[in-house]
Amino acid sequence: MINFFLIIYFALMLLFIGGCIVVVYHLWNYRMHNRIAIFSILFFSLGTLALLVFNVTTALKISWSDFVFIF
Amino acid sequence: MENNFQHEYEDYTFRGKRKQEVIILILRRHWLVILFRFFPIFLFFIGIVVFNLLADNFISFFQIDIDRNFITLVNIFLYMFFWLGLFITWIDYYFDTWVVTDQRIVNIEQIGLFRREVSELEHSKIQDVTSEIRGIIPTLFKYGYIYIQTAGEKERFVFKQIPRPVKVRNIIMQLQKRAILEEKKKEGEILRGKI
Repeated sequence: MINFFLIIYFALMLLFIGGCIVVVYHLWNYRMHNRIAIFSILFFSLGTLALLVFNVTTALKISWSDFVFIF
Repeated sequence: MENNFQHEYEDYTFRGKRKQEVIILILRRHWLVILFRFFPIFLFFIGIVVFNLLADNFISFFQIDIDRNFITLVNIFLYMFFWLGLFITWIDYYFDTWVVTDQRIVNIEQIGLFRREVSELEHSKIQDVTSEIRGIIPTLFKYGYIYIQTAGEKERFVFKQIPRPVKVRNIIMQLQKRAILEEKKKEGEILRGKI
């Protein structure tokens, strides 16, 4: 049995994490100043981590198998 | 001239920097440009806030039985892509740089995430430098364009929306004159058999 909403959830997570990897790659690979690059990457990573933690903890609270809309 | 700027860019480097090369200027577009670019991203943020308000009202008005955590999750995803969009926009702005060294000008243009163009121009190949400030906002905030006519493969180098273009133009002209003088010195020494 395929849970459509769960597939969308994982697809969006993959897209987001892929985008984050690309951002970090650019910030590090094309840096012109080491300290600025490290600070930018740290700042971005902390924000990303906070959002991911919040996301996963919220997703764990959802009962994916019995997702019901009642009108 | 290097003494006025060198200390500012001592810790800076770029890909392809030569060993004895000294960075004189690192230029990016004026800060107003990134503000204008952030504007759609902040509109998106306002959209998220509006979604939050409307979602709650919509659910209570139509008495929809939905897990509140699902709405929170949708919210978080919107914030996540807002965060990502912010940094992607920043990268597109921040990595567009013009590096003026004591030997050449390097133009690094980041176009989106997966396209990067780098071109360089030796000072001795500069034929003409023109600065332009056009429009009310650029005039007030003193940013504009510099057009460099070259004798190289790329006929024209353009510095886009950089602050203080007149001052930058003067610096480039000085560097060009010095490069031409040094070339003439070398030619003279070759003719005199010193090299």
